Amino acid sequence: MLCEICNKNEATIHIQEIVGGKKKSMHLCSSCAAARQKESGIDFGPFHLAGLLYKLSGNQPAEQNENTPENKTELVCPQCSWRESQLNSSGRLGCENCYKVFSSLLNDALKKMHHGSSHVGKQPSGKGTELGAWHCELARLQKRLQQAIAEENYEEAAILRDKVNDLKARCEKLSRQTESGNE
Amino acid sequence: MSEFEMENTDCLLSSPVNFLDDQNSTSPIVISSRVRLARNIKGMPFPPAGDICSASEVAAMVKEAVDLCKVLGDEYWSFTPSSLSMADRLVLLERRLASSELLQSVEAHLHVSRDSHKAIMVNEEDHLRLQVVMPGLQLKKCWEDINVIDDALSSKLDMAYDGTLGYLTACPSNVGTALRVSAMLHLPAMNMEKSIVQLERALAKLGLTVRGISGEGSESLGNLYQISNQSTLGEGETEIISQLGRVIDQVIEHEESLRAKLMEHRRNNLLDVVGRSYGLLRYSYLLTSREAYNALSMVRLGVDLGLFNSLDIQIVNELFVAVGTGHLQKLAMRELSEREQNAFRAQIVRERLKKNSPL
Repeated sequence: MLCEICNKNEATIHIQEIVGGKKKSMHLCSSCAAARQKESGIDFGPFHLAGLLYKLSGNQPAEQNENTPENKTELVCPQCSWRESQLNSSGRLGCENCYKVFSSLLNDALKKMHHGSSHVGKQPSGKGTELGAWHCELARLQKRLQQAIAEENYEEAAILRDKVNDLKARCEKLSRQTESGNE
Repeated sequence: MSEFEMENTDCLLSSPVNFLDDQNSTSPIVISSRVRLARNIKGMPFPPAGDICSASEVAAMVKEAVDLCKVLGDEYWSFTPSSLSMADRLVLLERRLASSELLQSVEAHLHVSRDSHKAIMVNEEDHLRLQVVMPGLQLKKCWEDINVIDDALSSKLDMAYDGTLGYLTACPSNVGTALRVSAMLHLPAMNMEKSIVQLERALAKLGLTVRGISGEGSESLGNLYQISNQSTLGEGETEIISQLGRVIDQVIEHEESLRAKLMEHRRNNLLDVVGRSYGLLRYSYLLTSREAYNALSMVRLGVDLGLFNSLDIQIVNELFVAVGTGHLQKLAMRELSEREQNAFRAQIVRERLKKNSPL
């Protein structure tokens, strides 16, 4: 998708503005986003852009929070006390547990930032090896499934879908076992 | 005792900038390759949420692991940016050993191998930022080296990791492999032909970014551009590295073909801009950093194209670093105003080129 302002560069940033209570969504390239930042006086620095992505994926529209601050509920990580507002303003997390606490806000943002949703690659030696290997396999199968669907090869897609579901169930089971083992 | 806590960066200044020291480079277009891994220690708050106590605990754990594993060799240098002078901090930045974020952190530390190829930043955005920098296009070699460091440190430190999301980092844009691979390229012909915007657009589709070094946005000083991966989740390390390698090969090919076209069709224009740039460097008495970098870039292009009889590329490389504000002030042994910097910059460039006059 091309930038909505210059119509030249690839749009890499998705911005949502609220003007007069109306939401306006825009897809911009980095230089036009920076120019708009200067115009509006809003700080869209590199980390704040991440913050914007989370806001977009959140369930509560920003204006609702502004109008009814007394009803505003905020997620807080019990482990490091990192707050949702800190995630929104800095685009950063406070500890490993924050990934679980803020997962509802992070999922869509992660999809926009990365090519995949599951880790494929190195694992710390000797830790979580089996589960990690399954996740790698799952990511590979999901990629093949998307490819099969794109090629309209529905017979293969059906087989792959079953394999994906089966592996997902096994991963969840092992993950639960590991968690209860840790506790 | 294998670590030396340094009060300044004099130890670095006495040795050449290793990432620029590539005598056997296959392509003069790729200046250097860099691989960075982000890691956090399990159970500790990430630096954005940590306090001085947790940060110093992390620093002590990392130092112990680095000493035990000898990942930076038998002897290495340690710097505490908060206790360094501004000029020393700038030297670390200009030598690409530290990020500007590290230099602003109060509890940050930097451990550097004696050959300056390997560095470990502590308490930057993440607890650990491992870095390997090599001259020329050596992404695979960088990865092999950093992988060894990572394995060794992981045997002593329990890293924050999740089966689905991979290595957990303070910023979700690094989660997964937490790997940032980049190459610094010298692209004067592509810039002259206004191809950088097209490159930016093409790379964005592949999830890669190109940005100017020290410039704003896509603008660059000295036609130096850094190409790096953006996505860290969903692809393995070797996949990320080989994709970036393939893209860089194509960029090199494009830059080379544009250089050849310029030589064939606009030879006089090219000779003129290279000659004027050499003249500026050789005879100026006031030289801003922008002028210096841009003129050095054109002279480097001239050397690459064989337009100089005897000017050594190594001298041009050295000057690229020597004209930096931090290096200038270290050489002058005092703080310099902007005007003084411009005069001193012009002086050292004049003298260096006078000694090695290609004419």
